[in-house]
Amino acid sequence: CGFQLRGSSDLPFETLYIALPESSELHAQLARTVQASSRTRVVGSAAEAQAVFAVTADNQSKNILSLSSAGRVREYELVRSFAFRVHDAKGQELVPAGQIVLRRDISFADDQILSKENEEALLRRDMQNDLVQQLLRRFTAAKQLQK
Amino acid sequence: ERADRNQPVNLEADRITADDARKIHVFEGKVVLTQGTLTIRADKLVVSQDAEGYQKGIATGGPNGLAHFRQKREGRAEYIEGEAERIEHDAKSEKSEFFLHARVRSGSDEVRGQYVIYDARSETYLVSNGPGGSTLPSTRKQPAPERVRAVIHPKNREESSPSAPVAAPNPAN
Amino acid sequence: GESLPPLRVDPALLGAPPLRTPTASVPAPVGAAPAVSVMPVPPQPVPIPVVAPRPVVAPPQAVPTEAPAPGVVHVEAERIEGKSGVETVADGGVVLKKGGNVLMADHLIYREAEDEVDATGNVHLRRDTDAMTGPHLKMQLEQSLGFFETPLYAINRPPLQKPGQPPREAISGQGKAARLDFEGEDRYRFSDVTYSTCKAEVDNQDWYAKAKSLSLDYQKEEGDADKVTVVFKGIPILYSPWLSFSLNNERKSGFLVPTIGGTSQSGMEATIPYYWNIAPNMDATLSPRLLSKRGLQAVGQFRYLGQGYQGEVAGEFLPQDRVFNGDRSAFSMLHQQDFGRGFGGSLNLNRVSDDTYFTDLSTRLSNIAQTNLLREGRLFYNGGWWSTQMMAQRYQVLQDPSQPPAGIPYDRLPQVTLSAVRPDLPAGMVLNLNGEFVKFSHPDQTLAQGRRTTVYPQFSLPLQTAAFYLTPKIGLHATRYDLERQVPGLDTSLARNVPIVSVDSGITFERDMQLFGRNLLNTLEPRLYYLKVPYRDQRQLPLFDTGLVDFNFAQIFSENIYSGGDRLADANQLTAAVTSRVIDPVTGSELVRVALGQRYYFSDQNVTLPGMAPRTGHMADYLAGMTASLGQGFSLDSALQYNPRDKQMERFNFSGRYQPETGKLINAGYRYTRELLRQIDLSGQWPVMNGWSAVGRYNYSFKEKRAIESIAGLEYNSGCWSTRLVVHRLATAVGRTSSAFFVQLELNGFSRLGSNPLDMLKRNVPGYGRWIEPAADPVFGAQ
Repeated sequence: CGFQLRGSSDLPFETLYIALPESSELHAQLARTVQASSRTRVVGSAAEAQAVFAVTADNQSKNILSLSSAGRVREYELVRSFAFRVHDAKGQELVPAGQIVLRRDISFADDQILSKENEEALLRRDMQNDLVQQLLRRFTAAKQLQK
Repeated sequence: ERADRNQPVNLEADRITADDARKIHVFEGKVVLTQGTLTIRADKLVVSQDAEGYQKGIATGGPNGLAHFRQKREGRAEYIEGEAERIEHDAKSEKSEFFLHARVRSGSDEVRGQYVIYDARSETYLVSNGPGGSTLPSTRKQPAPERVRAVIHPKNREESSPSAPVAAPNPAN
Repeated sequence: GESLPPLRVDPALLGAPPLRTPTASVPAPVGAAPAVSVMPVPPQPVPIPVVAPRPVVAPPQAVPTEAPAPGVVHVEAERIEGKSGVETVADGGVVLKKGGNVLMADHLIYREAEDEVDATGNVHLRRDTDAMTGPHLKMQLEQSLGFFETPLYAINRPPLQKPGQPPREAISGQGKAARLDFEGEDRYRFSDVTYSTCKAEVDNQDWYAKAKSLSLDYQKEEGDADKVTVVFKGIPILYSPWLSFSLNNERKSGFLVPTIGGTSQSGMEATIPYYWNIAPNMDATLSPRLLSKRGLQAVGQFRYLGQGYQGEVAGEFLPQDRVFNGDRSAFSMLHQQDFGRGFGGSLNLNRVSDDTYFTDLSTRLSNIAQTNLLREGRLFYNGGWWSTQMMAQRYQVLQDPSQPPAGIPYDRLPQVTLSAVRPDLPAGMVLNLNGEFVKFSHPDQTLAQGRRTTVYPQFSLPLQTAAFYLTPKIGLHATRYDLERQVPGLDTSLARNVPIVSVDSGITFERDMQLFGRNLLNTLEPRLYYLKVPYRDQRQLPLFDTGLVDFNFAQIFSENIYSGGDRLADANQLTAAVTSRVIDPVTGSELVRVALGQRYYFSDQNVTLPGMAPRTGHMADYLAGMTASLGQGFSLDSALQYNPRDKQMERFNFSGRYQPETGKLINAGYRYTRELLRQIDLSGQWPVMNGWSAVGRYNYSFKEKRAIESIAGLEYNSGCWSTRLVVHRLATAVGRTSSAFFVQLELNGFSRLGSNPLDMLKRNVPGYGRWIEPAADPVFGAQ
């Protein structure tokens, strides 16, 4: 049915600078994933990097999805809307600017607020893993562009 | 200047034809008329004299088809310069009329249009499409612009105000 | 309401080197605390916008473009006469140009000494993008002093540019005045002036604001108007003795539009907010709120943004509530700070004076439904490969008299977590270390309380190629309890040490594919995950923060079916899943994702929560999920959980959206959870006829056989004003509903009057609002 193993996932740049504060979890995770699944190295400053990954918007929100008949929240929807740009030192775009929106539902009950808080953290981590994978997809797709 | 009127007139031209009966002199070919501060340059200059002896000149043509007029203003260091296809200067009324592609400059101000009349005595000018509101057809091929233009360089107040007497620098302001 | 323009950090103010990008987001603190990355934008003071390129009366004829040299005056006309150096008189289609001014008139006198121009006969003045026309103008061009009689004017205004938003064109407004006085460079004063953003000619604009005087100062970029009356279709609807506003959308102190409304609990309600722009990086909104049945409530909100820190403090105080007869107050604070070199912290405090504070006093729905108010402080350090966080957290629980008493969660005073990842150990090994120390306490003396310490090191060996990965992992989950108080008969110091073994593997297949003439990339990603956790008897362990996690794709690949640290489910199971994606090869964006998952249990489950039947049988529920954006505005999202043992559906959600363009939207959704909820949810917004569009939502619960939430609304937009009439009905308790009626008149680009349904519409009709809401507001979000 035409399926074959995925080819190598090289990125269109050898060195990448992630323009996020050191203390952000996304910075550590994106760096680990890029270096684990491609030959690209993550460097410490924009000057020495061929590509700069810049976050233009990163909003996490929690919207009420459904209410019980007693007017209590029964389900929340966790949303993360992430927009980014990857450009070179001169500001030329290397990867088309894009937006990735991630959604997860989580049931809710007032008396389980602590366990639901841990569950929300689990879902936020899962969303971040998904986000990092999709970012990688966007970077590798940009490789075809260069050809 | 007003004093020009009784200055000697000096005229150069390639050809001169005179008609003493009707007191008309026609000068042709690189004509240059100077009288005191007044100079007129043209291809052809027709000078006529009225009964009281005042002269009237009609100059036409000249370098790139325009006659040229220049006269110093009364009591000012500035000159009036003008050019047009035909210039009529009347010494008696001290008025000069510029017809077709007229351009008159006084100091740094300038007016342009189809017809300009300049009254040296009152130092006023008028520029429009033709004498008395008419519109002069243009002799040149391209249509003459029916609008007139003026460029004015307002003397800002410091310059024109009488120079302040030398005073001790004012510490206040 | 619309939010305030973003605060700007003035580096000079802080004595620091200028920031690269003033709106750089403050780093998100580690863990679940929501990151406020974009400051809410303050509500818009009543603006009178300025300057439009479209003049009210088109200039008589094409104006020559070349601008005169500075100080030089160009005049063009049919006739010009004058005395050189003194005066110039021009007639017939006169055009005078000096500096940025272009002046046109039938007749014009220019007096050189005073540099004054006196123009009569359909005079038309254009400066930059302002345009004014009138019968007579007298003005000194250089000093720009003078007056314009009965001018018609058109002025323009740069739009409020929200970060990450498409640029919006300028707001143009026009009107007429009895007189316009030029009071110096870039300073106008109109008297008896009208203003409107309606494009119609001045006399039949649908609405206009009338003011005794309006002064605009472009140097200070401020405008002031007094005795302002807003007249809508001939009816005066708003009067304000004095109004000031900013000309360039910078925040400016001033009164915001008062809102009038009413609720059954508090009677008639009027709020007059005052916005105080303290500094470029600090502002406050003080809005006294008069409640007819209760009294006068003081509501305040203060925001600040500094070098690496930002925050918002909100407070409400209602002395002597006549219905409640007592003082009532509420307080909320959200502060986030990046101390630099990896250190950061956040403070999120919320408190109300009594349990029914929200249901009585607040109209924001999200507060009504809230029963637990968070009070939490966090400090964290991120050292790249390791990070640690210390947190102190309590909840204030609001008991609703009409409901059974809600359980009170444990306090965590403090909780210290540690997580470390060493991906570069020898032979490609990876060490993950998670540690936690928590001191739980609870007011109920019968419940256990004390300290829990957990250390969970894991070693994994990720073998990875582009298409294939295999990750064996082994870890030891060790937990100790030192309890001050325990259920009688149980030990106070307990321990649980559990080895956890898992193997995760996956293959990625890809192929090119054609769909509707587009070539796409299709992937097939099977994944197998084996987990072995031996049984440990945990019935003696207290239940501090543990609960059953929803069964979904995030959970089936995690090591525990419970969240929290008190229960570690025994497991001997193999989870299989396959994900197929359709990806746009050009951008790499995911268009369709379909996933199927199933789990096979090799042994029964023994670790349970109280009152939960242990699972027997080998087949777990089937999981299926699909999300798809199909283009032309269609998108689908569906998830299903089927229990093959009892042959019943555990959970089924489906939602579809069709949104060809903004303003045209249909959402349809069905949500089912066995024995818990069965609801349909329809919402949408669609143009009905010229200018009118309907907005609505119907959320019906089959289980309770009643509508949970419904909205019906009509919106009319005539180009320069729009109105909204919305009815909102919400079930607030068994058999009880609360309904609210919103009437709002929006004078586009000018102001909004009446009760504002926009927040409620954005929440109820997903896709109605164009921008994504900022991260979860503190309890009392922006107005």
